[in-house]
Amino acid sequence: MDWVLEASALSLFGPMGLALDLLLAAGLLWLAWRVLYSPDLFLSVVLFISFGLLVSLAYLRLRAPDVAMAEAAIGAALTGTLLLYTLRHMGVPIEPPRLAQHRLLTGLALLMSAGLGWAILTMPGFSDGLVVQVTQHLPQSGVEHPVTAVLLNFRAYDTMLEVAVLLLALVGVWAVSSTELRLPAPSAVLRGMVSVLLPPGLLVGGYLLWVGAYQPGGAFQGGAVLGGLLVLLFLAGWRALAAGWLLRLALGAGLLAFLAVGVLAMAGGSLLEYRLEAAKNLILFIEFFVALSVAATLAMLLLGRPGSAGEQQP
Amino acid sequence: MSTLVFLLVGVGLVVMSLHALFVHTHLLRQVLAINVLGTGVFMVFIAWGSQSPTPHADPVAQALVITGIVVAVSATALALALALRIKQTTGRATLSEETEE
Repeated sequence: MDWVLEASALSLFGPMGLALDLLLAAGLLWLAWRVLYSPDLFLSVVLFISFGLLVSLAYLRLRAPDVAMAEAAIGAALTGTLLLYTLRHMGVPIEPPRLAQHRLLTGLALLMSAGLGWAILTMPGFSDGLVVQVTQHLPQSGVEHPVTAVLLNFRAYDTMLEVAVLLLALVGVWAVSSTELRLPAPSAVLRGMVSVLLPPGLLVGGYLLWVGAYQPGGAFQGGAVLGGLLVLLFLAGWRALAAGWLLRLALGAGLLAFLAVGVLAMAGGSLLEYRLEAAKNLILFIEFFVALSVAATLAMLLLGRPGSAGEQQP
Repeated sequence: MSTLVFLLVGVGLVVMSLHALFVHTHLLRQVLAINVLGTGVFMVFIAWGSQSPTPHADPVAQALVITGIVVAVSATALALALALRIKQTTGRATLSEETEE
């Protein structure tokens, strides 16, 4: 497992590691302060993106590369872009933020940080009960990477509902947004860049999806990369992708595949309980469609409702 | 050692963003605060799970946080769409009850 070796080489121990951690911690707290209290809202949003990237570094230090990838792609990049988009349509407020009367609140916040800090420092020791369970049952899951095994086998029910939440959120966004998707005409530079970025982007997204069975990666990380590509394609003028049933099918495919597999597996046992010999193929089948849905949903969350351009065509 | 440092960072993020959530009235600032709040909670989770003896942090904690990140972005997208609609309908970017004279 090459990756594990690299990871252990990366996680410096001793004084260097501690110095890096403290530097990261100081950077995180300072950036969070600027994000939350900067008078310039635009600056806040831009700093929020850098904050997300630092958070992702912190997750790497904590030996959680799967979470680091999800945070960088979804937490930092996508949330940041959504915020930038909304800010542009709402207009940047000129006056600095009005703060409610805050002396009492500051006192309460200090009290609360003392309480939370105390609670965390006096937590009972780490119990590795669940880690032992996952490690013991990993051979029965059909995949070799423990995080993927938890997401798509042991706790597949959670993940299925998560895919449903993603779809529901998109329905909600489409229901309340009154603005239609209006995109500027694509420039030649953008089109050229997209044609260069498309093949390696597809490769990275597909690789992340496939490698999730063995190493850090998986449907959500791969889907986020593919979603970014979809946005670029839309911006470069491939509007036809947003038209009609093809998009709607892609949006629903993840949940449908999940439900289909779950119900079919019920014939031999209970919901989402795969047989061992089929488990790996079933998980890859679900992951493929979930990645497709994640990509389409994330892209449509960013781009808003498909505009009349696609629907008015006779 | 990383564990302790980032546990405390998580606490700091939660407290700061909760304070910001109460003092700010602009809707986008409140959405930002909720996102930082969630990140603080996730960080406590992962920092605690990093004490696992396996090569990577506790897989159950990682899976929970990945789910959390995806749900957070869904909720953020919905909140932002609502905020934009409020701004378009009322002309204000806050929920305050003040009457504009």
